[in-house]
Amino acid sequence: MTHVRSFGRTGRAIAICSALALVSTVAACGGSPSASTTSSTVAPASGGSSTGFKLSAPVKLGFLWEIQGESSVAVSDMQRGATLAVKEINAAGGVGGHEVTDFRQTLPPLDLQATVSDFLAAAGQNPTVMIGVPSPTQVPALATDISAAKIPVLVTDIGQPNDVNGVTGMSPYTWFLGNYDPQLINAGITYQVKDLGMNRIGIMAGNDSYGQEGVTYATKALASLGLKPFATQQFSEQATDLTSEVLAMKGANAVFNWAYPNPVALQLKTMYQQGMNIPTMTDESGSLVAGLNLAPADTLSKMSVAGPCNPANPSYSPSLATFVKAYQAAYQTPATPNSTWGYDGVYFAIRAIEAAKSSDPQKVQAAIPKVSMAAACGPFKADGAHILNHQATIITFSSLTAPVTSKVFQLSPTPAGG
Amino acid sequence: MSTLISLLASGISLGGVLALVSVGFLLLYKATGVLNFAHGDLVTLGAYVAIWVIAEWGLPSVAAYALALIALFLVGVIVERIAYAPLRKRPPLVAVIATLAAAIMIEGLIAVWQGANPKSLASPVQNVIFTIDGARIPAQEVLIVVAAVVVLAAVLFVFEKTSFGRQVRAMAADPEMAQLNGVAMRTLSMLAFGLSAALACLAGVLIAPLNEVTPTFGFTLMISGFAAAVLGGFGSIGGVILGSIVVGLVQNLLGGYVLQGYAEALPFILMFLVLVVRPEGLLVLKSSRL
Repeated sequence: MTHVRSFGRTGRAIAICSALALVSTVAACGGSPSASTTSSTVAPASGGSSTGFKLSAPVKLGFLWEIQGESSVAVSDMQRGATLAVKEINAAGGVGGHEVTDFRQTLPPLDLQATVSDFLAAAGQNPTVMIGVPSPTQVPALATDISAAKIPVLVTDIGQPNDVNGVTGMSPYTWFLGNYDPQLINAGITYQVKDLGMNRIGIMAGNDSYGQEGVTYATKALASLGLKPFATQQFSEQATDLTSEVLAMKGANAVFNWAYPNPVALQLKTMYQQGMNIPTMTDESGSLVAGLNLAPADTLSKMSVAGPCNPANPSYSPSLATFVKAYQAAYQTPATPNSTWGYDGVYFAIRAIEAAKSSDPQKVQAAIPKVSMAAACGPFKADGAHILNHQATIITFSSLTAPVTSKVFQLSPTPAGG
Repeated sequence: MSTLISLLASGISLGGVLALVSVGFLLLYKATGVLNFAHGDLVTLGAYVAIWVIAEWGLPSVAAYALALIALFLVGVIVERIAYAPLRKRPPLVAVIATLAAAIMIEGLIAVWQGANPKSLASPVQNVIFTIDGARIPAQEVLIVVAAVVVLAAVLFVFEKTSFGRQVRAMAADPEMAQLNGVAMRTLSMLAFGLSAALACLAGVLIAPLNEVTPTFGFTLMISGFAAAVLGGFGSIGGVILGSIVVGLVQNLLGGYVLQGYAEALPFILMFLVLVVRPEGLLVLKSSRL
C-alpha cells in the first residue's frame, strides 16, 4: 500500500522557515526562489558559471507540446512557464557560461503518427533535454523512439501505472514531472474519509484506462481504510447524460469521480438537478470545471480536487507564490498547474545539467537521480518509477476566486514497476 | 418509482434531441441523396454560436438561440455551395467524402475560434426543476420535448401540405423527373441544406445547457441519431422519430437498470438486432417518401 503522510504543523513551519531562508539567500545571489535547495546554482550576471564548469556550446532545451489546437492539452500555459524559466535563468547568467536556448516542436496528441515523426524531428535538433509530451497516450507511443534518441524527456503529465510498470516498455529516458496517479487517488480518498468523515463513498469514472485505474485504486484506498465503495459507475467520456449513474449514488454521502472535465461537470450538474448536495472529490479536471464555471456554484463549493499544487492560491508554499507572482507580472494572467510543469521542467533540466557538468544528454540522464529541487509545484526528486513530484494538495472551492489548499500530503517514493 | 420517472424523462428528452438530429439528417438525404457527415459538427457549431452571441453581445439566451438558428441556416447553404453543388453530377459517394472534409474543417475552425476548453450554454429555464412523485425533472428536459414536438410537427406539415414539401418529395422519389417538371433543384438543394443545418443547431442549443460544449460535442449525437434513423427505417419522418424515442428510452432505462456503464453502446446493439429481424427498420412505408 502506498504510504501517505499528512504534512504536520511543525513540519510545515520548518519547511516555510527553510524556504524563507532559501529565498533570502538566493535573492542575494540574484537567482530564482525555485532553485535547488543545495546551493545557488544560477550563474551570476557577469556570465561566469557559479558551478565551476564551462560548456563549449549553449544548452538547448526542446519543448514538445501544442499551444493551439483541438486537444485539451493544446494550451499556452506550459510554454509560458517554460519561457519564464528560461528568461530568469538567462538573466542570471545562463548555464556553463552560455545562455540557455530552446525550441518548440508541436506534438499533436490526437495524431500519434504525427507525434512520432514530430518527436524524431525534435530529437534531430540535438537538445540536451526535452520537456513535454502532455498526453498520456503519447508516452507509450514514443517509448521506443525516446530510448533510441537517448535524450532525457521530462514528461508534463502524471505518471500512470502503465507508464511505470515496465511491462509496456516505458523508456528509461522518461521522467514524470507530475505525481504518480494512484497516490493522488489515495490522497483524495484519505481526505474524504479522514478529514470529511465520509463513509459511504460512491465511485464514478470513465470506462477508459484512466477511469479504470481510478476505480481500481480508489477501491484499494477504501479497502485500506476498512471501507467498500457505496456504488461504482463507469461511463463513456463522451456521455451526454449521466442521470442513471448519478441516481445510483443516491444514499452515498460523498462521490469520488476520476474523469475528464466534461463528465465531471455533467455529474455535478446532474447532482444539482437531482437535489444531491454531497461532496465530490475529483482530479485536476475539477479545477478547470470551477475555473470555467461549468457547474452550479452550490455544487462547486462542495467539490475538492486532488492535484499536484494550487497556483490559484499559493499561500501555503513560498516557492509557488514567487512563481505565481512572476508569472502574473510577465503575462497578466493567472498561473495554472500546467504552467508550473513548464517552469519546473526547465529548472529541473538545468539542475540536472549542472549536476552532470555537461550538456551531453547521456551524462545528464545519469545525473537526474542525484538532483533534489524545491520546485514551484512541490519537492522534486526522482524515484525508482521516474516520478519527480512527491507532494499532493487537496484543493477546495468554498471560494471560486481563491480556492483553498485544505491539505498537503507528502508522498512516498514509488519503486520501479509502480 | 422516482428513479423510473427520472430515467423516463431523461430518455424521452434524449429521444427528442435525437429526433431533431436524425430528421435533419433524413431530410437532406431524401432531398439530395447525400449523407452529411458534417451534421454532428453543425450541432456543435450551433451551440458555440449561441455561446458566443451571449458572451459577446450580452443577449438573452432565447435571442441567442434564434440568431444561432439563422446563422446555421446560412452555414448550411454555404456547405451546400462548397461541398455539394460543385459535385452534384459526381457519384454520391464523392459528395459524402466532401461532407466529411467539411466536418473536419468545421471542427478545426471551432477549436481555433473557441479553443478546446469546455464551455457552458445558458438556458432560459436554467436551474428550474419540476418534481413529480419524488422525481426531479429539469425544466430543460421538458423544454426539449415541447420544442421537438412543435418543430417536428411543423416539419411534417411543411412536407405534407406545402409546395416546398411536395417538391422535396418529388426530388426524393425521382430527381430527373422532378427537374423535368420544373422543380428548381438548385434552390431546393440550398434550402434543404439550410433547413437541415437549422435543425442540427436547434438540437445543439437545446441539449447544450444539460451538457458541456466541446469541439466534438455533436459527434456522439450524430452517430446516435444515425442509429435512430436506421432503426426507425431510413424512409419516413415518422419512423425516424419513433427510432429516436426508442433509442433514448433504451439508453436510459436499460442502461440505467441493467447494463450500466455501456449505455452509449446499447442503441447500436439494438439497431443491429432489429436489422437482423426487420432489415427495413421498425416503420417504413412501401413507397420511399417523406
